[in-house]
Amino acid sequence: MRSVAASDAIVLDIEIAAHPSRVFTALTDPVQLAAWWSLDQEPVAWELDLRIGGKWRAVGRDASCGEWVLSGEILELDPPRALAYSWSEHSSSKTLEGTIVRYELTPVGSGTRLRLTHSEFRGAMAARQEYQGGWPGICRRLVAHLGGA
Amino acid sequence: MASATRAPSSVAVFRALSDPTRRAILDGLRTGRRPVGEIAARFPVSRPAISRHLRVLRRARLVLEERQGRVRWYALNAEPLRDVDRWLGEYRQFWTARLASLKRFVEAGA
Repeated sequence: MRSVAASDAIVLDIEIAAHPSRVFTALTDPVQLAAWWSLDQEPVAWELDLRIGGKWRAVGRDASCGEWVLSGEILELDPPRALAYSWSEHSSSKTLEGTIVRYELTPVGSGTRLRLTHSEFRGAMAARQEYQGGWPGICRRLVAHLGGA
Repeated sequence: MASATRAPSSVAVFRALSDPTRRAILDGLRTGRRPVGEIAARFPVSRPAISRHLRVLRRARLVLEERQGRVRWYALNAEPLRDVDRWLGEYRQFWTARLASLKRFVEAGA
């Protein structure tokens, strides 16, 4: 996986050994999203009204951040080539509004190159850093707890 | 980040943390510094064994030693844990971790 530094966008490329239509389904089907999105067995509930202007929402919780809600609106829907939606986050530790997440799928042989672009942080550099660097807070809490920071 | 490119101090830190007794010693020092005898009394291993563990922790700079008269005190020094935390952070990256999870999921079902 490769990270490309753009002005304020996070850009990541990954190659997946499966046809773009299969990848597109994993990105848009709430059941499949629930299966792979969570990294720590904590359930994540997805709702997605898959049409331009349709709303989406993902609700989960994690040990260090409490409950979080991701939500937005579908902006681009071109299966199996592109998907974009607005992305807001509301959790106990922060509120982030109006960023944009776009997935671009390109066939490579029998597989897919997936490019993720998370943009429009518009100066919310702390939030950008958190998405680039990880889900918020865990690191600082650990060090603080051990008496470092 | 490959371990081969790490500074020797990071290697010492990771090695020091690889042992459960040494991690327990660090846990015991979170609430404040302790004399060596008190540290040793908490573990069912010999005093020389505890001294060896403390030496490993000291070389990794995870504990600081201070002598007062004939008593050696040990205090937690969490600063080197930043290296560990930075390394773990690479596995915690929000999008990187999720794309890797998507890849595993799709390829397993493909």
